[in-house]
Amino acid sequence: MRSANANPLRRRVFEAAAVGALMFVGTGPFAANAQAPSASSEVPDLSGIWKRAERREVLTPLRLNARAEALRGVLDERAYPKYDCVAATMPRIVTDSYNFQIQQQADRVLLMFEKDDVVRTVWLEGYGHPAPSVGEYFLQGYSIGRYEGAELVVETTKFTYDPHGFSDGSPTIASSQRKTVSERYWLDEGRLRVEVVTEDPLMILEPNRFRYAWDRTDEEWLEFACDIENSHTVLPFLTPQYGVP
Amino acid sequence: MREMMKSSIATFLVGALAAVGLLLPIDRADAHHSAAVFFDRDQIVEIRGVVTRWSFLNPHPILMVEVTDPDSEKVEWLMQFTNVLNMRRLGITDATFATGMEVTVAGPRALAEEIYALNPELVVLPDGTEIVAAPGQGGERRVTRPN
Repeated sequence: MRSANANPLRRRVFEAAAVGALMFVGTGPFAANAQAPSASSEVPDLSGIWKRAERREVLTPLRLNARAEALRGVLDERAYPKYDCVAATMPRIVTDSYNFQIQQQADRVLLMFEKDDVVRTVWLEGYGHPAPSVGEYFLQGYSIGRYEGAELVVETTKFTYDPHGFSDGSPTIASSQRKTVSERYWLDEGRLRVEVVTEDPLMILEPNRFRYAWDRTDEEWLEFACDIENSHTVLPFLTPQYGVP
Repeated sequence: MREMMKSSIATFLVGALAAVGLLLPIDRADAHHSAAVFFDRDQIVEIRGVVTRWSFLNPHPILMVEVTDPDSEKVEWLMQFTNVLNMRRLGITDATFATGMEVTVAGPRALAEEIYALNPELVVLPDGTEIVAAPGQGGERRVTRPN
Protein backbone atom coordinates (compact mmCIF):
# COMPACT_ATOMS: atom_id res chain seq x y z
CA MET A 1 0.00 0.00 0.00
CA ARG A 2 1.31 3.46 -0.80
CA SER A 3 2.16 5.84 1.99
CA ALA A 4 -0.62 7.85 3.49
CA ASN A 5 -1.40 11.27 2.15
CA ALA A 6 -1.88 13.59 5.09
CA ASN A 7 -2.65 16.72 3.02
CA PRO A 8 -6.43 16.90 2.48
CA LEU A 9 -6.21 19.33 -0.47
CA ARG A 10 -3.58 17.29 -2.22
CA ARG A 11 -5.65 14.21 -1.52
CA ARG A 12 -8.78 15.78 -3.04
CA VAL A 13 -6.86 16.87 -6.14
CA PHE A 14 -5.51 13.37 -6.45
CA GLU A 15 -8.98 11.85 -6.05
CA ALA A 16 -10.39 14.25 -8.67
CA ALA A 17 -7.62 13.29 -11.05
CA ALA A 18 -8.33 9.64 -10.43
CA VAL A 19 -12.04 10.16 -11.11
CA GLY A 20 -11.21 12.06 -14.29
CA ALA A 21 -8.94 9.29 -15.41
CA LEU A 22 -11.64 6.74 -14.74
CA MET A 23 -14.16 8.80 -16.72
CA PHE A 24 -11.73 8.83 -19.61
CA VAL A 25 -11.16 5.12 -19.27
CA GLY A 26 -14.92 4.67 -19.17
CA THR A 27 -15.20 5.90 -22.75
CA GLY A 28 -12.25 4.02 -24.12
CA PRO A 29 -11.33 0.47 -24.87
CA PHE A 30 -11.16 -0.34 -21.15
CA ALA A 31 -14.72 0.81 -20.51
CA ALA A 32 -16.02 0.38 -16.98
CA ASN A 33 -18.15 -2.72 -16.50
CA ALA A 34 -16.02 -4.47 -19.06
CA GLN A 35 -15.74 -8.12 -18.22
CA ALA A 36 -12.45 -9.87 -17.78
CA PRO A 37 -10.26 -9.78 -20.84
CA SER A 38 -10.59 -12.59 -23.32
CA ALA A 39 -9.27 -16.07 -22.78
CA SER A 40 -6.02 -15.10 -24.40
CA SER A 41 -5.04 -13.18 -21.26
CA GLU A 42 -4.24 -14.51 -17.80
CA VAL A 43 -7.28 -12.89 -16.18
CA PRO A 44 -9.88 -15.51 -15.16
CA ASP A 45 -13.55 -14.80 -15.81
CA LEU A 46 -14.96 -14.82 -12.30
CA SER A 47 -17.84 -12.47 -13.02
CA GLY A 48 -21.37 -13.59 -12.27
CA ILE A 49 -23.70 -14.61 -9.47
CA TRP A 50 -22.56 -17.50 -7.33
CA LYS A 51 -24.43 -19.83 -4.96
CA ARG A 52 -22.91 -21.79 -2.11
CA ALA A 53 -21.75 -25.23 -3.26
CA GLU A 54 -19.88 -26.63 -0.28
CA ARG A 55 -19.55 -26.12 3.42
CA ARG A 56 -16.58 -24.17 4.68
CA GLU A 57 -13.41 -26.26 4.77
CA VAL A 58 -11.39 -25.19 7.78
CA LEU A 59 -7.65 -25.45 7.19
CA THR A 60 -6.51 -23.78 10.43
CA PRO A 61 -9.17 -23.26 13.10
CA LEU A 62 -9.85 -19.96 14.78
CA ARG A 63 -7.82 -19.86 18.00
CA LEU A 64 -8.72 -16.93 20.21
CA ASN A 65 -6.26 -15.31 22.59
CA ALA A 66 -7.19 -14.41 26.16
CA ARG A 67 -8.30 -10.92 25.16
CA ALA A 68 -10.74 -12.18 22.58
CA GLU A 69 -12.06 -14.79 24.97
CA ALA A 70 -12.62 -12.16 27.65
CA LEU A 71 -14.43 -9.88 25.23
CA ARG A 72 -16.86 -12.65 24.40
CA GLY A 73 -17.98 -12.67 27.99
CA VAL A 74 -18.49 -8.96 28.49
CA LEU A 75 -20.11 -7.88 25.24
CA ASP A 76 -23.81 -7.33 25.79
CA GLU A 77 -25.93 -8.92 23.08
CA ARG A 78 -28.36 -6.01 23.13
CA ALA A 79 -25.48 -3.77 22.05
CA TYR A 80 -24.41 -5.88 19.08
CA PRO A 81 -24.25 -3.58 16.03
CA LYS A 82 -26.07 -6.11 13.86
CA TYR A 83 -29.34 -5.26 15.61
CA ASP A 84 -29.00 -1.82 14.04
CA CYS A 85 -28.37 -3.39 10.64
CA VAL A 86 -24.63 -2.82 10.72
CA ALA A 87 -23.29 -5.12 8.03
CA ALA A 88 -21.22 -8.22 8.57
CA THR A 89 -17.57 -8.11 7.53
CA MET A 90 -14.82 -10.40 6.31
CA PRO A 91 -14.13 -13.17 7.01
CA ARG A 92 -17.56 -13.92 8.50
CA ILE A 93 -19.65 -12.60 5.62
CA VAL A 94 -18.13 -14.75 2.89
CA THR A 95 -19.28 -18.03 4.42
CA ASP A 96 -22.83 -17.01 5.17
CA SER A 97 -25.21 -18.89 2.89
CA TYR A 98 -26.31 -15.96 0.76
CA ASN A 99 -25.54 -15.52 -2.91
CA PHE A 100 -22.32 -13.83 -3.88
CA GLN A 101 -21.50 -11.80 -6.98
CA ILE A 102 -18.30 -10.73 -8.66
CA GLN A 103 -18.09 -7.91 -11.18
CA GLN A 104 -14.72 -7.52 -12.87
CA GLN A 105 -14.08 -4.08 -14.22
CA ALA A 106 -11.04 -2.62 -15.90
CA ASP A 107 -9.45 -1.11 -12.84
CA ARG A 108 -11.34 -2.70 -9.96
CA VAL A 109 -13.33 -5.72 -8.90
CA LEU A 110 -16.62 -5.54 -7.03
CA LEU A 111 -17.30 -8.31 -4.51
CA MET A 112 -21.01 -8.20 -3.74
CA PHE A 113 -22.88 -10.02 -1.03
CA GLU A 114 -26.64 -10.43 -0.85
CA LYS A 115 -26.21 -10.52 2.91
CA ASP A 116 -26.53 -7.00 4.22
CA ASP A 117 -26.26 -5.58 0.66
CA VAL A 118 -22.51 -5.35 1.09
CA VAL A 119 -20.42 -4.20 -1.87
CA ARG A 120 -16.67 -4.36 -1.44
CA THR A 121 -14.49 -2.54 -3.95
CA VAL A 122 -11.15 -4.13 -4.70
CA TRP A 123 -8.84 -1.55 -6.18
CA LEU A 124 -6.60 -3.26 -8.70
CA GLU A 125 -2.95 -2.36 -8.43
CA GLY A 126 -1.35 -0.26 -11.11
CA TYR A 127 -4.16 2.22 -11.67
CA GLY A 128 -3.05 4.94 -9.28
CA HIS A 129 -5.99 4.60 -6.93
CA PRO A 130 -5.58 6.81 -3.86
CA ALA A 131 -4.83 5.02 -0.64
CA PRO A 132 -6.52 5.92 2.64
CA SER A 133 -4.76 8.21 5.05
CA VAL A 134 -3.31 7.01 8.33
CA GLY A 135 -6.44 7.68 10.34
CA GLU A 136 -8.96 6.32 7.86
CA TYR A 137 -10.52 2.96 8.72
CA PHE A 138 -13.56 1.33 7.18
CA LEU A 139 -16.15 -1.23 8.23
CA GLN A 140 -15.29 -3.40 5.20
CA GLY A 141 -11.64 -2.39 5.25
CA TYR A 142 -9.58 -1.17 2.32
CA SER A 143 -8.97 -3.75 -0.38
CA ILE A 144 -6.35 -3.89 -3.09
CA GLY A 145 -6.06 -6.68 -5.62
CA ARG A 146 -4.19 -8.19 -8.51
CA TYR A 147 -4.37 -11.15 -10.81
CA GLU A 148 -1.71 -13.77 -10.30
CA GLY A 149 -1.97 -16.24 -13.12
CA ALA A 150 -5.49 -17.64 -12.95
CA GLU A 151 -6.14 -16.29 -9.46
CA LEU A 152 -7.60 -13.06 -8.16
CA VAL A 153 -5.69 -12.06 -5.05
CA VAL A 154 -7.29 -9.59 -2.64
CA GLU A 155 -5.63 -8.11 0.42
CA THR A 156 -7.69 -6.11 2.88
CA THR A 157 -6.49 -3.94 5.76
CA LYS A 158 -7.78 -0.94 7.72
CA PHE A 159 -10.88 -2.51 9.20
CA THR A 160 -12.56 -0.72 12.05
CA TYR A 161 -12.89 -2.60 15.32
CA ASP A 162 -15.84 -4.94 14.85
CA PRO A 163 -17.62 -6.60 17.79
CA HIS A 164 -18.68 -9.41 15.46
CA GLY A 165 -15.74 -9.38 13.08
CA PHE A 166 -15.04 -13.08 13.39
CA SER A 167 -18.47 -14.36 14.30
CA ASP A 168 -21.92 -12.84 14.62
CA GLY A 169 -23.26 -15.78 16.57
CA SER A 170 -23.91 -15.42 20.26
CA PRO A 171 -21.62 -14.58 21.91
CA THR A 172 -19.86 -12.84 19.07
CA ILE A 173 -16.13 -12.87 18.38
CA ALA A 174 -14.63 -9.44 17.88
CA SER A 175 -11.91 -8.42 15.46
CA SER A 176 -9.59 -5.48 15.81
CA GLN A 177 -8.31 -2.68 13.59
CA ARG A 178 -5.25 -4.80 12.98
CA LYS A 179 -7.23 -7.53 11.24
CA THR A 180 -5.94 -8.33 7.77
CA VAL A 181 -7.65 -10.64 5.29
CA SER A 182 -6.08 -12.28 2.24
CA GLU A 183 -8.34 -13.93 -0.34
CA ARG A 184 -7.42 -16.01 -3.38
CA TYR A 185 -10.20 -16.76 -5.86
CA TRP A 186 -9.87 -19.28 -8.67
CA LEU A 187 -11.98 -21.49 -10.90
CA ASP A 188 -11.94 -25.24 -10.48
CA GLU A 189 -13.83 -26.85 -13.37
CA GLY A 190 -16.40 -24.08 -13.27
CA ARG A 191 -16.68 -24.01 -9.49
CA LEU A 192 -15.49 -20.80 -7.83
CA ARG A 193 -13.21 -21.40 -4.88
CA VAL A 194 -11.64 -19.06 -2.38
CA GLU A 195 -9.01 -19.51 0.26
CA VAL A 196 -9.17 -16.95 3.02
CA VAL A 197 -6.41 -16.24 5.51
CA THR A 198 -7.18 -13.88 8.36
CA GLU A 199 -4.68 -12.49 10.82
CA ASP A 200 -5.36 -10.37 13.86
CA PRO A 201 -2.53 -10.18 16.39
CA LEU A 202 -4.84 -8.52 18.93
CA MET A 203 -7.42 -11.31 18.88
CA ILE A 204 -6.18 -14.62 17.50
CA LEU A 205 -3.15 -16.78 18.19
CA GLU A 206 -2.37 -17.79 14.62
CA PRO A 207 -3.68 -17.10 11.13
CA ASN A 208 -7.13 -18.54 10.51
CA ARG A 209 -7.43 -20.30 7.14
CA PHE A 210 -10.42 -21.76 5.37
CA ARG A 211 -11.77 -22.51 1.92
CA TYR A 212 -15.21 -22.01 0.48
CA ALA A 213 -16.87 -22.76 -2.86
CA TRP A 214 -19.75 -21.63 -5.05
CA ASP A 215 -21.39 -22.68 -8.30
CA ARG A 216 -22.85 -20.30 -10.84
CA THR A 217 -26.55 -19.65 -10.48
CA ASP A 218 -29.18 -17.97 -12.59
CA GLU A 219 -31.12 -16.91 -9.50
CA GLU A 220 -32.24 -13.29 -9.43
CA TRP A 221 -30.03 -11.02 -7.35
CA LEU A 222 -32.12 -9.86 -4.42
CA GLU A 223 -31.88 -6.83 -2.20
CA PHE A 224 -31.40 -7.54 1.49
CA ALA A 225 -32.90 -4.24 2.68
CA CYS A 226 -32.36 -4.67 6.40
CA ASP A 227 -35.14 -2.98 8.37
CA ILE A 228 -33.98 -1.51 11.66
CA GLU A 229 -37.43 -1.42 13.24
CA ASN A 230 -38.01 -5.03 12.38
CA SER A 231 -34.58 -5.92 13.72
CA HIS A 232 -35.38 -4.19 17.00
CA THR A 233 -38.45 -6.40 17.41
CA VAL A 234 -36.13 -9.04 18.78
CA LEU A 235 -34.49 -6.87 21.43
CA PRO A 236 -37.18 -7.29 24.13
CA PHE A 237 -36.69 -11.01 23.77
CA LEU A 238 -33.00 -10.78 24.71
CA THR A 239 -32.10 -11.13 28.36
CA PRO A 240 -30.34 -7.90 29.43
CA GLN A 241 -26.80 -8.60 30.58
CA TYR A 242 -26.37 -5.40 32.59
CA GLY A 243 -29.89 -4.52 33.58
CA VAL A 244 -30.19 -1.71 31.06
CA PRO A 245 -32.16 -1.67 27.78
CA MET B 1 -24.06 -26.51 38.48
CA ARG B 2 -25.62 -23.49 36.79
CA GLU B 3 -25.91 -25.42 33.55
CA MET B 4 -27.58 -28.29 35.38
CA MET B 5 -30.08 -25.92 36.98
CA LYS B 6 -30.70 -24.25 33.63
CA SER B 7 -31.27 -27.61 32.01
CA SER B 8 -33.63 -28.68 34.77
CA ILE B 9 -35.62 -25.48 34.53
CA ALA B 10 -35.85 -25.85 30.76
CA THR B 11 -36.99 -29.42 31.05
CA PHE B 12 -39.59 -28.44 33.63
CA LEU B 13 -40.84 -25.51 31.61
CA VAL B 14 -41.17 -27.44 28.39
CA GLY B 15 -42.81 -30.27 30.23
CA ALA B 16 -45.23 -27.92 31.94
CA LEU B 17 -46.14 -26.16 28.72
CA ALA B 18 -46.61 -29.47 26.96
CA ALA B 19 -48.88 -30.56 29.78
CA VAL B 20 -51.18 -27.61 29.23
CA GLY B 21 -51.24 -28.20 25.52
CA LEU B 22 -49.10 -25.29 24.43
CA LEU B 23 -46.23 -27.43 23.23
CA LEU B 24 -45.95 -30.77 21.56
CA PRO B 25 -42.52 -32.36 21.34
CA ILE B 26 -41.47 -33.48 17.89
CA ASP B 27 -38.45 -35.14 16.36
CA ARG B 28 -35.08 -33.60 16.92
CA ALA B 29 -33.90 -31.98 13.73
CA ASP B 30 -30.50 -32.02 12.06
CA ALA B 31 -27.96 -30.80 14.59
CA HIS B 32 -25.40 -30.03 11.91
CA HIS B 33 -27.09 -26.79 10.93
CA SER B 34 -25.12 -23.69 11.94
CA ALA B 35 -25.77 -22.78 15.56
CA ALA B 36 -28.67 -20.40 16.00
CA VAL B 37 -28.24 -17.33 18.12
CA PHE B 38 -31.25 -17.69 20.32
CA PHE B 39 -32.60 -21.13 19.71
CA ASP B 40 -32.03 -24.51 21.28
CA ARG B 41 -32.07 -27.31 18.76
CA ASP B 42 -32.54 -29.75 21.62
CA GLN B 43 -35.95 -28.22 22.33
CA ILE B 44 -38.03 -28.60 19.19
CA VAL B 45 -41.60 -27.55 19.95
CA GLU B 46 -44.89 -27.04 18.13
CA ILE B 47 -47.47 -24.37 18.85
CA ARG B 48 -50.92 -23.55 17.48
CA GLY B 49 -52.31 -20.04 17.50
CA VAL B 50 -53.57 -17.00 15.66
CA VAL B 51 -51.39 -14.61 13.67
CA THR B 52 -51.29 -11.11 15.14
CA ARG B 53 -48.48 -9.71 12.99
CA TRP B 54 -46.47 -10.70 9.92
CA SER B 55 -43.43 -8.61 9.11
CA PHE B 56 -41.75 -9.90 5.96
CA LEU B 57 -38.60 -7.86 6.36
CA ASN B 58 -34.92 -8.52 6.98
CA PRO B 59 -32.77 -9.26 8.86
CA HIS B 60 -35.32 -11.84 10.02
CA PRO B 61 -39.00 -11.98 9.09
CA ILE B 62 -41.16 -11.94 12.20
CA LEU B 63 -44.46 -13.73 12.75
CA MET B 64 -46.28 -13.03 15.99
CA VAL B 65 -48.71 -15.74 17.05
CA GLU B 66 -51.12 -15.55 19.95
CA VAL B 67 -51.53 -18.88 21.68
CA THR B 68 -54.43 -19.52 24.03
CA ASP B 69 -53.90 -22.06 26.79
CA PRO B 70 -56.66 -24.22 28.32
CA ASP B 71 -57.31 -21.55 30.99
CA SER B 72 -57.96 -19.00 28.24
CA GLU B 73 -54.71 -17.23 29.05
CA LYS B 74 -53.14 -15.69 25.96
CA VAL B 75 -49.42 -15.83 25.29
CA GLU B 76 -47.80 -14.08 22.36
CA TRP B 77 -45.01 -16.02 20.70
CA LEU B 78 -42.36 -14.51 18.46
CA MET B 79 -41.43 -16.56 15.41
CA GLN B 80 -38.11 -15.49 13.95
CA PHE B 81 -37.52 -16.88 10.46
CA THR B 82 -34.27 -17.08 8.49
CA ASN B 83 -34.33 -14.21 6.01
CA VAL B 84 -36.49 -12.72 3.26
CA LEU B 85 -34.17 -13.80 0.45
CA ASN B 86 -34.21 -17.51 1.21
CA MET B 87 -37.92 -17.41 1.96
CA ARG B 88 -38.78 -15.65 -1.30
CA ARG B 89 -36.91 -18.40 -3.12
CA LEU B 90 -39.11 -20.88 -1.27
CA GLY B 91 -42.20 -19.08 -2.52
CA ILE B 92 -43.05 -17.31 0.73
CA THR B 93 -44.27 -13.72 0.38
CA ASP B 94 -45.66 -10.91 2.48
CA ALA B 95 -49.11 -12.32 1.66
CA THR B 96 -48.39 -15.82 2.98
CA PHE B 97 -49.75 -14.98 6.43
CA ALA B 98 -52.59 -12.68 7.39
CA THR B 99 -53.73 -11.35 10.74
CA GLY B 100 -56.30 -13.68 12.26
CA MET B 101 -55.05 -16.74 10.38
CA GLU B 102 -54.70 -19.88 12.49
CA VAL B 103 -51.32 -21.55 12.08
CA THR B 104 -49.31 -24.37 13.53
CA VAL B 105 -45.59 -23.73 13.82
CA ALA B 106 -42.74 -26.05 14.74
CA GLY B 107 -39.05 -25.45 15.37
CA PRO B 108 -36.39 -24.95 18.05
CA ARG B 109 -37.54 -22.74 20.91
CA ALA B 110 -35.63 -19.90 22.55
CA LEU B 111 -32.63 -20.72 24.70
CA ALA B 112 -33.89 -18.47 27.47
CA GLU B 113 -36.65 -20.37 29.19
CA GLU B 114 -38.68 -17.29 30.06
CA ILE B 115 -38.92 -16.21 26.44
CA TYR B 116 -41.74 -17.33 24.17
CA ALA B 117 -39.98 -17.47 20.85
CA LEU B 118 -39.07 -20.08 18.30
CA ASN B 119 -37.25 -20.45 15.01
CA PRO B 120 -39.85 -21.87 12.60
CA GLU B 121 -38.81 -24.74 10.40
CA LEU B 122 -42.31 -25.94 9.55
CA VAL B 123 -45.53 -23.92 9.34
CA VAL B 124 -48.95 -25.42 8.64
CA LEU B 125 -51.61 -23.15 7.14
CA PRO B 126 -55.37 -23.49 7.81
CA ASP B 127 -55.87 -25.50 4.60
CA GLY B 128 -53.21 -27.99 5.66
CA THR B 129 -50.51 -26.61 3.39
CA GLU B 130 -47.11 -27.22 4.96
CA ILE B 131 -44.38 -24.65 4.48
CA VAL B 132 -40.83 -25.87 5.06
CA ALA B 133 -39.43 -22.52 6.12
CA ALA B 134 -35.89 -23.64 6.89
CA PRO B 135 -34.90 -26.65 4.83
CA GLY B 136 -31.62 -28.45 5.34
CA GLN B 137 -28.55 -28.08 3.16
CA GLY B 138 -29.99 -30.31 0.45
CA GLY B 139 -33.43 -28.71 0.60
CA GLU B 140 -34.72 -31.51 2.78
CA ARG B 141 -37.37 -31.10 5.44
CA ARG B 142 -35.81 -31.04 8.90
CA VAL B 143 -38.80 -31.25 11.19
CA THR B 144 -41.34 -34.04 11.46
CA ARG B 145 -44.77 -33.37 12.93
CA PRO B 146 -46.22 -35.70 15.52
CA ASN B 147 -48.98 -38.07 14.38
